[in-house]
Amino acid sequence: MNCSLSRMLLEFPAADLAAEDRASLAAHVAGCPHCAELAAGEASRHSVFAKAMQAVPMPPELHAQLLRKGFAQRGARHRQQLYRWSALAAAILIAIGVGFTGYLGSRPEIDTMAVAVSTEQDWEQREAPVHEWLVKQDLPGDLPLDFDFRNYAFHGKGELAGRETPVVVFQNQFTNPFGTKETYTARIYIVDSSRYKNFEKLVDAQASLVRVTVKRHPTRTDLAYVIIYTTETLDPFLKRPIGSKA
Amino acid sequence: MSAPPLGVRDLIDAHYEALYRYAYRLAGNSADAEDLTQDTFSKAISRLSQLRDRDSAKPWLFRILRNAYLHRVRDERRKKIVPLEAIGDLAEEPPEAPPEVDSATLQEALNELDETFRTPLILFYFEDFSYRDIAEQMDLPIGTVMSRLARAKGYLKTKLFAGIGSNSTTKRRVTP
Repeated sequence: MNCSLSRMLLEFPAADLAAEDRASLAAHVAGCPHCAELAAGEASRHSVFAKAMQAVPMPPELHAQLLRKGFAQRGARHRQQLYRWSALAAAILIAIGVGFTGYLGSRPEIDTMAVAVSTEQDWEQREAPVHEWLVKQDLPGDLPLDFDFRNYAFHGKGELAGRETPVVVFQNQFTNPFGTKETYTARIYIVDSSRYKNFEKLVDAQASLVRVTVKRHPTRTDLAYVIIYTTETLDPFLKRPIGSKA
Repeated sequence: MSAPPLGVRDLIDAHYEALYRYAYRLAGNSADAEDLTQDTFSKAISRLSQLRDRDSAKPWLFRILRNAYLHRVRDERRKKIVPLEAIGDLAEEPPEAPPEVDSATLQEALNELDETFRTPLILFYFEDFSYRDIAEQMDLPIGTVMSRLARAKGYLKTKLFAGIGSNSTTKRRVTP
């Protein structure tokens, strides 16, 4: 190392010099009186400046003031955080409460009268297509008895005495005393006098399992309803107003 | 195992003296220095959760303080700044150091320096920051720090040691 490089390196704090440079500088300074004098001068000036730089009188109350304000600020911050969390928690609780209240308010209300009417309307809607179909067949829309359309099965043409005849069918299920499910049926054939002979002589009949009831139309003398059913009476197929006996 | 989080008391106890002295040397008076120190701790405490590493507390606080100082003086351009071109000729051979320098005299000399030169000088002599530390503190390339420090040190030597132990007549002019 020469004196020029040594003087340049002397300007640097030791911390900024690589260990290798520090060693080279120390070796050069040890053997060079001129650079040693410069190094001593630099160290002396550094020491004097550093000492002067630090000679700042400390305000006696500063430490206490800083602590007081620091703790106050920290406390305020903690309180602020507590308030913030509390507000958040409250907001969540309110949201839950509002949501729950909304849920409670939005639950459907059971109006029993509306349910009864709606159910009846539903049943009546099953009757309407049958009514329309009968009218299209140039037949009276209403059946001769007030049949309960909850038991409605189908309508269309069915064979009666070898002829296709309009028919409406009702079926019902019940459990007999032996625990077996049985189905009973009522078939209402709408018979036109023009298609059958001896129309005037149609009468009720009964076999071991089947009964036949003939109902004449009150106004149209050319029409009769031949009802074939498997129950003792037709009552199980008819509408029973509430309070009436089965 | 990681160190426990730094508390308010730890932070203040460990750094308030150095911060106040730095503030004093930057601002040049005790009133501003106290305000700056208070501001610094106030900002630091409000952001204490950002400080992950205890060892980085000191440079972090110094940076906050310097930013606070720069914010204060941003609009009041210093009137008595001595541009380094005006420092005049410096002795080629550094003058011999006097046994000590008066603190107030040092402050007068510092007050005449622009902050960009004053800060590295204070950090260098006062807190033994390395050039690298100062560069990080001031967001400057290390080369810039070196050149500013060289000029500021030259200025300080001339200002404080003028006429002491030097009869040299060979001068050179410092240009920025």
